[in-house]
Amino acid sequence: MDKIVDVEICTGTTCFVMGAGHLMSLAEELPERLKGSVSIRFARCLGVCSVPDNGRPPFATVNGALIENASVENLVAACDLLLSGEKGMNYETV
Amino acid sequence: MKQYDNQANRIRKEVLVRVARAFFSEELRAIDRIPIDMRPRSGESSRCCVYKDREVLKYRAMAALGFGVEDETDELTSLHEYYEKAQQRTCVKDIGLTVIDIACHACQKSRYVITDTCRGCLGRACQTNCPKDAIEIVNGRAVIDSGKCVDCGLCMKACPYNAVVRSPVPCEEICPVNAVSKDETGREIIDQEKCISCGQCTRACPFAAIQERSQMIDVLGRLKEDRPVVAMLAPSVIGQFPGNLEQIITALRRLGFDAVEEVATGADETARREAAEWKERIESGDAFMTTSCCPAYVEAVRKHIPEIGKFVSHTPSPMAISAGFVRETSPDAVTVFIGPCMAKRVEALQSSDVDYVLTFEELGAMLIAAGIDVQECEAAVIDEPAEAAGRGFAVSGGVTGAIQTQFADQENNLQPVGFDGLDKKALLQLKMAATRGCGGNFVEVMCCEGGCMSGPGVLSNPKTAARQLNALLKDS
Repeated sequence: MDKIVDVEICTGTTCFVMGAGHLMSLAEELPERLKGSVSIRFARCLGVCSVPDNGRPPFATVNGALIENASVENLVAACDLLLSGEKGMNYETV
Repeated sequence: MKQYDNQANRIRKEVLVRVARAFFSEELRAIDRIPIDMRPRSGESSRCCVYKDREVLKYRAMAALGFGVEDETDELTSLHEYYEKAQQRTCVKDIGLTVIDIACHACQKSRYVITDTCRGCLGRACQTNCPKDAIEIVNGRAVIDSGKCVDCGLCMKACPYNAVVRSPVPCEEICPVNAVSKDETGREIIDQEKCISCGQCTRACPFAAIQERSQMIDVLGRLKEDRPVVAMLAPSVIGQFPGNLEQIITALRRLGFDAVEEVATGADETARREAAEWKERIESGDAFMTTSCCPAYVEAVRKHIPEIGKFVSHTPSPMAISAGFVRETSPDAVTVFIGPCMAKRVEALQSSDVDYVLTFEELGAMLIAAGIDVQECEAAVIDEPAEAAGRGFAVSGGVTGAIQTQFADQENNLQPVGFDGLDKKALLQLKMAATRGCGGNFVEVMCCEGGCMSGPGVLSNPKTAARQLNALLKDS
């Protein structure tokens, strides 16, 4: 079975206002190559915006790694990176 | 539908949040630090250097305090002095959009450009099709002589390599009324005589050089005073925040609003009156009637297509009706309309019933600064919920739907026509409609494509917000 990348988007008020509101439709905006390989969840709040060192909201995680200033572009890039790495492994195991 | 989320937009929102935070911290000097905190000397810059970024940020903070570049008489005036001035303001007078001249990139005039994709081919369809002999071949590549070019675009259509592109000036391109143009330095200026305050240019500019003057500080100030302050939430609030409408109402109360009204209730009344007005007008022989709830359209009629003026409904907008309700029950209350719209500021200025207008963006900044998380708020009880028809005003076709509901159980010859988005072409069609009609007798006009849910002050993707609205309408 293909690997699935897990994306979790924070929907706390800070993240939502700063841009996560526009990420609610991420599933539709994924490029074809990623459809079916990405699972998207919306977190009530990831609780990371109170620490300035974490960067700027909106926040998301991709397979647990924190992404600051999350956008369709940087989330897609993170998914691509993980999938291209993991596809190599898949070829050996499939 | 347009999407407004980009880095330039996020910077603007961050400034609003920081200004609101400075208000709550009551530490006046914190506001002077905003440009430095956002662009520290050791950090990266978006423009040539952090120092220019800081200057632009200072003007952004000024706009967040309600001042335009035009209000600057001395460059040495610090942000905390503007803040103090803002606090002394008792009413809103100035609402015009302001161009931060140093942020404006002074984009080259809209033009056609031949890119590197040009192969200098044998066919030279570009040259053959150019009616003005404006294309030369230099070093094996086609080049457009801008002195001869008349912007017809035939070369772009002709090129088999798609090597010709049109390079637009985004703010000028989006303005439906040609109110944005260049001054002698090449930077953009807004002709306030032409501007209809639709706010499209503020979101179209990739440098976010056009800003509105915020009324956020004024509202925050009123919330601290003894007079009751009433929030009037536009129907398009659905989907603009996490959580549901009932939780948003609680969040507003926590911010300090004494009461929260759904403008959708005013919209229900607008629909009733507008339906009656339409019937009366058509029976008296009018060819058609157009809606009056979109203030940018009303401004466009006043300034650009006066010939259609007599066809515009006289029924007050949902905001005006809701504000009237509030004034009746609590005459001394401060009224604050909260919506996605910048043109509502114009309508509010002309109305004695609406004191302030905030966008969802500004409300969002206030909630962040106050540390209020909407989803943590308990659900408020809405005593008199609005009807589905009124709540539907938020999307294109919603007003028409509400009018159709009014006539649902009676004989009528309602022939609706919709203008979903006011662009240059739509303006021309409306102009012609004054004499030739427009194929219907009830004409809904929404300046923003998609309706208010795509307004310049929204926080959500219009598609997902519309979906949430539809879900709510089923329950309304």
